[in-house]
Amino acid sequence: MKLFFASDVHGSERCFLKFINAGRYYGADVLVLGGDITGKALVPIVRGPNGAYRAEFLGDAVTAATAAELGELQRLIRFNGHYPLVVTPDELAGLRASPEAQAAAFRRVMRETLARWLDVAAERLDGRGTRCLVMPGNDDDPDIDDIIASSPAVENPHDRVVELGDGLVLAGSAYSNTTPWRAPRELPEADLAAHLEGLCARVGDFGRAVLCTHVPPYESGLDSAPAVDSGLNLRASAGQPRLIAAGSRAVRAVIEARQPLLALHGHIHEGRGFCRLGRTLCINPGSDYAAGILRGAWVTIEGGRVRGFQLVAG
Amino acid sequence: MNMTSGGRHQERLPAIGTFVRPATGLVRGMGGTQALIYNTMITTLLLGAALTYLWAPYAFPGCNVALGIVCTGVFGAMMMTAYSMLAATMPRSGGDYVFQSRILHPAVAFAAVGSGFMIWLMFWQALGGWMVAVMGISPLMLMLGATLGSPVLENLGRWAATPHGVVVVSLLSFCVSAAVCAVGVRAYLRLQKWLLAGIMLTFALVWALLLTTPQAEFAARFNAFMAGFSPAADYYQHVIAAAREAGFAAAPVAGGAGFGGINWGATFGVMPIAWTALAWTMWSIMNAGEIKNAGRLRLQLLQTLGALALNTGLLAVTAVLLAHSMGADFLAAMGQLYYSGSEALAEFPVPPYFGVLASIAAGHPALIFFILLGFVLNGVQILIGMCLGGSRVMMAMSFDRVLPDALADVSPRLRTPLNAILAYHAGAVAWVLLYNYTAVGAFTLSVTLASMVTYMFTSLAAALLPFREREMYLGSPVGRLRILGVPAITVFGIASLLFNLAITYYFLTADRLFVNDVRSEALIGAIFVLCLVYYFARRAYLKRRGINIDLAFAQIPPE
Repeated sequence: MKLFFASDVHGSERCFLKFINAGRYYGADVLVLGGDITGKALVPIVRGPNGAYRAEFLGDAVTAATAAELGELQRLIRFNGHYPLVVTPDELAGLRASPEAQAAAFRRVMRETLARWLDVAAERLDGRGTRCLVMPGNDDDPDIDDIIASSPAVENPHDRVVELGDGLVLAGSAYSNTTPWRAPRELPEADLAAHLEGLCARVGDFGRAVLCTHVPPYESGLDSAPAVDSGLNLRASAGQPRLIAAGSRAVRAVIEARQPLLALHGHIHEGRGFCRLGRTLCINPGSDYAAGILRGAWVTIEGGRVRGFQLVAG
Repeated sequence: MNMTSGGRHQERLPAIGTFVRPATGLVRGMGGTQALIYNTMITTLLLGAALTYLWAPYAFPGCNVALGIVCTGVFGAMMMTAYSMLAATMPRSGGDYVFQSRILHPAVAFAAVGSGFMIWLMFWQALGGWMVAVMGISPLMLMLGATLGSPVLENLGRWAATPHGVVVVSLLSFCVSAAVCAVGVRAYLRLQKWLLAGIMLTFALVWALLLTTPQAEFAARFNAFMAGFSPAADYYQHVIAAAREAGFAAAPVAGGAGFGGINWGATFGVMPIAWTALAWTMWSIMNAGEIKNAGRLRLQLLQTLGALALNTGLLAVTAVLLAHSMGADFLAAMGQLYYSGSEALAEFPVPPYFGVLASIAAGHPALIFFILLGFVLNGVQILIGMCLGGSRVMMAMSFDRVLPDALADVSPRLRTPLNAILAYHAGAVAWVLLYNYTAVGAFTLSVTLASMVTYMFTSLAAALLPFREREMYLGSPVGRLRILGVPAITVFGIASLLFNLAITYYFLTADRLFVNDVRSEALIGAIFVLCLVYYFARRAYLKRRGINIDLAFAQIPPE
């Protein structure tokens, strides 16, 4: 069985479309998206009285005079993992004035975008026999879970043990340990440990299990992230970002204790790499969604063993 | 679609902005000052300066050294701009290896970066060890010995500059660099501020000395120092006279026949040597955050170009002060005699790099110590910095499966890529032996020429980005910048390529840079070809095991 894993597309439409095509491209039987699907930024495009549109894109003022230009602008915004939102000046003022309105706008656009993506996934995966698992991550609002659940093309493995075939199962967890950003799906380490124990209790043979936790194990080399202060400023020393291990101790403990066949992770975009914790191969493909690069990993599992794997940048 | 910077828009429209929700990884990017400091200090400042001041007048008689350094900075800015723009399009990954593999071809990337920034970086370890010994410990011991009247120190100083001495000092220095790298980047960052302070102190002391020592006074101190080594009553004039007798014409550095009185051909010749010091200001990890915008690009440009400007200024001003205090003719004559191996300089006890000359001007043991300590520290900084960079490159290539998996292994106890660090130093040991016991020692600047190969391919990648990775280009802040209708990154990529080609031309034609030796060229070429052959051999081997390394870099179509 060949499995393709990617994570942290963060609203990049280009990366999601590449992910859907990865099955065909790499000959994968199973596609797994490991979390943090939704974007972080909303770009208002203001409709002016003369029919032209204005926005701020990549720090500069932009105008789009025609429908074609508007379409191009929206496409480039989505390329960067942002959400374009056409508004009137009054609507923009309303958004500026109300954090609740901003949150509501985010939720609406996220849901619409994800629904559209999953429609494309259904269309492209139809008849191919490729299994597609889409798991949210710590940054994804639980609001999107029903969108994933309603799609005929994908499954959500969060807090589930999914049969992959050939006797293999995948156990997924979208949670991360706590971060300075207080994202929607975070748990303190003790609670995360309890959650993982509950998940693992439903796995029979860890020798034939793939553990997919959004957050990587602590001090694995897959979790080196720049440290930030309370103001979310990068902490630096002599001009270099200070790197810390941001992974989860609970995840590490579970892997070391249970020794699954394979462990797949995302969350730390800079943590691209692989390592072994005991006999478990742990992989974090990293993320470069803002450049439209889909970082992933394909893994071939045969006879209860990992026969081959490769980190790719598609 | 009309994209304009706010300032050029015809009417002042209210800012629209972007709404950002709290999400992991959204940080305020590192302040410009921090990365500017790092980029300023990562360069091989003292080594490059020392080589430039002594070598350039020998290699290109009549050159204006300070102006040549400025030219290097100005033209080198093209390359720094191209690199900054590339980093702005790929803010997370970055680096020559990713730029080239993504935009050109993975085989090219491996050959160029594998040779230039892995194997030749190991050569830098040999050079760093040499610097610690020959520019640092040797003159330090000898000068202190001469000043304090200690034959033991003098003999130690002489020994440290012999091939055996350099090898021993290098290997001991490698123990330091390997230990620091093995413990981790944090250890280096804690150490780095002391290294940088020491280097800056050297510059400060040298400037203070040069500003307060008129030429006649320097000559007198120099002669007083040399009285212990030579019967010549006026060794200062002896140096100048000996060089003239050897055919060195003290062509004027200004007031001559060239445009503005400058010998431009010779002055441009300074660039290949000065580039050895100045080419590193794009090395910082550009952690500018995930939200790309024009402000981030401007910040990156500030960090690289600002550092280049600072370093260029530092080196150029030092060159002016050296000529002012010590005399341009004297410095040129020193370089002429030293690099031609003239017997006329046999009595001078150590290689006459500017640190030594400044120490002679200083005279006081404490000043001598702190001036020359900076060279030791710069050598150590080179060793550690190059090891960190080289081992990172090895890890990245190992993750791609191009290099063996073992090089990506992280020590469970130290949490560092111990295998890569040890492999890197093993290669460095081989270079140390070659550099000090074979003809390779004459090809010091081959390391810069080898780097040119990497820079040229990255420059090409920059020029081709809008055509090879159109979506990535349009989706970045660079996508809106044009010069006379041509993508700005293409313009700067081509300018950078031409600059590096010009440097390469000098290396391949100027005899006195000692690189246009068929052995040197063969070595550079052979290493590049070896990396290319290795890539395809590794590719074939992995293909038999079901792994296609071409897929590591091949783009999945989104349609």
